[in-house]
Amino acid sequence: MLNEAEIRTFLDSVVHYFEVSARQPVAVGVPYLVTTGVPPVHDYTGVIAISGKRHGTVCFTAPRSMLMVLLMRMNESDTSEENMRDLVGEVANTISGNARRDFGKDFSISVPSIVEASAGPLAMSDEARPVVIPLNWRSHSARLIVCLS
Amino acid sequence: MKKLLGRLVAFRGPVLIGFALIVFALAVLLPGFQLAGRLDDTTAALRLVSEQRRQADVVAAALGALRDRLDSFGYVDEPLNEVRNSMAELDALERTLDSDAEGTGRFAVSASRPIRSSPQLTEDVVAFRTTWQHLRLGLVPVAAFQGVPYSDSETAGVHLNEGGRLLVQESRKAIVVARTDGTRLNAALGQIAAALEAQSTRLSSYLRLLMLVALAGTLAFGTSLTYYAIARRRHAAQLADARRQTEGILQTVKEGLFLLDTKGKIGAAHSASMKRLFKRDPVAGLSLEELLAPLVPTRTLNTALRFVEVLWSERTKENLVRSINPLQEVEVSFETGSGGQESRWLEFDFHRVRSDGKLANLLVAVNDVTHRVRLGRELAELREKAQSQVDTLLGVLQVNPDQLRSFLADSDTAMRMINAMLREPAKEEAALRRKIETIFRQMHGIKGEASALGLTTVQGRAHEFEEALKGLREQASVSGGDFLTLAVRLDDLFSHLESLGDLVARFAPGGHTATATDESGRGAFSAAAPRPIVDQARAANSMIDTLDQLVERIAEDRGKSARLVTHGLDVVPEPYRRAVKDIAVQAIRNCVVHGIETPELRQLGGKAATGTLTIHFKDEGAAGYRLVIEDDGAGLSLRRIREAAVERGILSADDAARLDSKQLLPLLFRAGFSTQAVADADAGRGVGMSLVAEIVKELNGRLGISSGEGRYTRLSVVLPSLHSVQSVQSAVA
Repeated sequence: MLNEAEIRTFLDSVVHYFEVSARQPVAVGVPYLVTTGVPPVHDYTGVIAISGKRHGTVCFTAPRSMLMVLLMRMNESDTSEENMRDLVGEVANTISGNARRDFGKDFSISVPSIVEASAGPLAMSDEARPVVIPLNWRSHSARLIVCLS
Repeated sequence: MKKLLGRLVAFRGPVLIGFALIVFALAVLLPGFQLAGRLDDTTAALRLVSEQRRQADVVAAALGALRDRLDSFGYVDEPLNEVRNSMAELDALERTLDSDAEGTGRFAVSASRPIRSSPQLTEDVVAFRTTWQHLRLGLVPVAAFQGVPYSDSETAGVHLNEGGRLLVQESRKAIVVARTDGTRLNAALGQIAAALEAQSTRLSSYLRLLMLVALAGTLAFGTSLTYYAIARRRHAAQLADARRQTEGILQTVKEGLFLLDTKGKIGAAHSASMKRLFKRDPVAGLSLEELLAPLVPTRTLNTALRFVEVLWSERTKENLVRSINPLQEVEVSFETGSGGQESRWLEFDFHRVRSDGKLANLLVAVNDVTHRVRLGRELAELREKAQSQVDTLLGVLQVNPDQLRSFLADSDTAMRMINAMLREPAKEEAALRRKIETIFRQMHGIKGEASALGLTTVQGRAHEFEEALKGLREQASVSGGDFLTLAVRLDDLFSHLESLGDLVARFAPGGHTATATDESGRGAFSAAAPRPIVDQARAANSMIDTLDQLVERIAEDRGKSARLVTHGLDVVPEPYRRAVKDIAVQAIRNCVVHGIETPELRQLGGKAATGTLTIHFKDEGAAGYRLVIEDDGAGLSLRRIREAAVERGILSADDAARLDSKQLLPLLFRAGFSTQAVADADAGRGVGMSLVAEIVKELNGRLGISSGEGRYTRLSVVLPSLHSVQSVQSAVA
């Protein structure tokens, strides 16, 4: 079952990241549930796996176009795919780090892994309904997906 | 040094045998060597003495020959030389037997050594020497003769010269001496030879005896070595067998078994399951820290390492320490690729292993208890779930299964609609607020029906959802993130209704409500599975039952008495059934809460104590369908409507006073408008009638309300004929 406080911790991490790193806040869209199938993902997805008191995954997924602009915004001239992967990983790492800090020993949080959309749909626990939180930044959209049971 | 000693101890058998062999060799071979040397010496002496025993006879014969030659004026050099040679031989014999020299080395043969070692022989040699010296004195003048003993003259012919005469004289003396001393010399040498022979025989006997001892010893050692080799081979076979068995166990056992040495490293012998348990190979040589670090949180790792440290301390009691084992049930995580993570629970058990009384190793047994832990957790969750379902179950058992199925199916649809509304992109504040209102009406419908069925747990959750919506509605500004609370509560409601569906599947009579599964694999409400044949009359009865219960419950809650009369609900077409029920539910709540008076008031007004609600549904052919819901209560109070409109800031006091009933009554269908000051579970949010208006609008129907103060309130709905039902269906679904 979803826990609002936990999701807010993940969400706040992303919002803070955009505020600090991109120097431009992200607009949080209306969250919704995925009741059938798997949540859609963008080009790059940073995934952290959670175990312990809760089990599941937290993903930050973003399109290539958004990551490119974000890199430029961060004065990074190298907009190679490798850098985009690193950027998604960095956001996921921020989520992971904050979660470790806030949740303590009850949670075991993995090091982020990066999955490309070409690898197919994300593996999600079938014991929980994922909640998708749209993240709108400039003209681009990313998503934070939380699936915890 | 210690290592060397340790190895010697380990190879005790071979070392002992080797040592004994050396001692035996020294004890047997050295005396043997000495005996052989002595035998050699004795043999050499005996040979020498035997060779020289004829010299006395040679001397006697030579002297005899000399006398004869002198008598016959013969050639004398030959006998003289024989005398000289024998003298030299006997001199040499004397020197040899008298010699003190040990020879040129330990291995050189010495003929004098046996003489010195035997007092008897020494005496015999002294006798020989004395006799020989005496004989020698008699022989020396003879041997000293040089020249020719004859002279030849014409007068005297050949005759003895001066030297010849002296030689004759000396030779005669020598013959006399040789006759006596020769016999003695022979006797002396004979005694020496006999003594040497006896000594030789004795030494030979000793040597044979020694050889016998050596042979016996060799046999004993050979037997011992053979026995040892057999025992060793048998032991090696036993060891190999034991090793095979150990390897068999280590290959087969499901537990992870390994030894930690004093340096904290994992030993080479460990069970094959280690690879499966830790997804790592090889593990030998790793420390416990290196094994666990990638799998467990740092805190758990540190605790585990401290615990192992304590185990190594001899002062702590093993049983006591094991009782505080922090790794009794530890969760470990493995990356599965593609971002996944697999969790397992491992149980570590530690045992001290002693060698010669000292703590040598820690035996660690690792069990995969994932199944047990998961079962335990599932059991706990089931218990918790069961506990929370008890109340629900009690309610469910009171509800008509058809009603419940219908409710679950409708709620599922409504919640999916709410989720679809959440998902619909909306950035502007106005769009977000419209979203709130729409969701409000949907949730209110669910709540109303849950209330009608007495499903308090659903009603409670829907009420909390509404409270959250109300909070959003009252916020000065709203953003997308504020809706997170709705998504979370919607998820909770989905889960709750799923469990309710499970209950229906388990407890509903006939049990024909098999659990359906949606595309995602998650269980959908079992009652959501459409039944192949739905009897219209049965559906109508189900609806009437629901509405009856609703009337009864709300009236009871409000201290009122009311009854429901229905007409024509059995002809409500399937596409309108949900809408009719939703409208009726909302209307009944309004009628009972606001319209029907308390029994006392009714009786004061000359009415029956029990109020009557009438629902009339009629098929009017091409004109559509008419639904009329009427109560015989107090009617609408225009005064109260005006006051509420002013209180809620919808109208100014002046406008409110100026408007007539036709202009005021539509306010009742406005979202958020209610004449009840404080909201409760049944009324007060201004959602119910708004929902009715929304439904009618979606179905392209018409809505009217009329009232007679103190007599009735009548809600009239006209729904279009089913020719245009397509749009309605899409709206509802």
